[in-house]
Amino acid sequence: MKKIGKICIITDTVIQKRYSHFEIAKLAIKGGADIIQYRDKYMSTSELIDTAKKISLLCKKNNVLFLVNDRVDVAMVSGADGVHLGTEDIPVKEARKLLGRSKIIGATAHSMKEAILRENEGADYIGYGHIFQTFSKHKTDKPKGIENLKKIVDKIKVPVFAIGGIGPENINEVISTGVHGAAIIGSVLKSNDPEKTIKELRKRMYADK
Amino acid sequence: MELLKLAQKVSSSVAKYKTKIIINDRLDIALLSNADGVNLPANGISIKNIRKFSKKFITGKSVHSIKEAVEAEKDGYDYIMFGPIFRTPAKVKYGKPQGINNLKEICSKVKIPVFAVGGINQKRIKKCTRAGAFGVAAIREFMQTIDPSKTIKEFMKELPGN
Repeated sequence: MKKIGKICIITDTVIQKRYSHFEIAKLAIKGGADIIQYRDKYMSTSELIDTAKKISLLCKKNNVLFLVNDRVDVAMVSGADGVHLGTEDIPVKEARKLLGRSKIIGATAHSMKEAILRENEGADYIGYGHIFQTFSKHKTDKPKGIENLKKIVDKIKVPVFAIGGIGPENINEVISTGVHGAAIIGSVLKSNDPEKTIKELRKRMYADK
Repeated sequence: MELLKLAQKVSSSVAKYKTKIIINDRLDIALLSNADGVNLPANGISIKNIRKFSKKFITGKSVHSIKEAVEAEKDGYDYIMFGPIFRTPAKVKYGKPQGINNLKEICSKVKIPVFAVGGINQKRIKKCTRAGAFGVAAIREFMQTIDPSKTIKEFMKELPGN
């Protein structure tokens, strides 16, 4: 299994229309992202595969990890390094049957119970959130906050990624919990200078190491 | 319900019958639910990719023209779905239905089984099989009937060999 870095950029073409998935991947790599997570809930399977193959190639050239959100089938045929599974997607154990040990399987958790469950099912990392108020998804439940994140980080042995509303203004708080990394969408994609924003996040994330 | 759970439930509940389970579009769901095959929409995964992961899957392709039908046969699909043959509310946005004449032409051009789909009801089955269709696919008729097994039996009566 490949090494899991700290800065994950999720491609999102719903909260913004300035950049395509591929353009986001390019920008993110330039800015120094470790992981690109390709997320699209609307495209047809062949469109998903075509785009995934392009991003996968780009990531390989740049030694960046490439994960596909939700769609195990798309990951299987596009040369991706793995998948990220939401709580409504294929369970980790089932995805493992198709992807094997060499691929990375990340899973979303919204509570301690879910985080422990996903870890026991064999997730290679846990995405926990949303930590702060976020606009990238319609969220009706309250943000989890830093204290809950700290509890998860202390309990879970696999890398934990914080997600939801994370940007330069609050990344230090997130880092203070000892979290492995952060998954970022809005603060980068809505930034006037996405590349610069990623660079800044990266600098903070890797400081004192 | 989560897609995979639903597929697994359907698949295991028909295991003792000769009914085949074909999953639309999703190779991953088909593999994990022990289905018999996949049906690929026009914008689906390629058969080459399907074959990398399963040699035994029945593979079907939804086509909307003679050209696509001939290509699908050449690519090695086991059957094709062609439609919509008749007017159906779900497909109105794609324009006029294909009609029986186009179905006839497709059936004369390919050797693999052709399933007619779109606006199929009991009365229309014979029209399709006379045009050369191997079988039919229906949604609405089965969703709207109060007795699905009776509707299936009525359908079966209309099909050759039954």
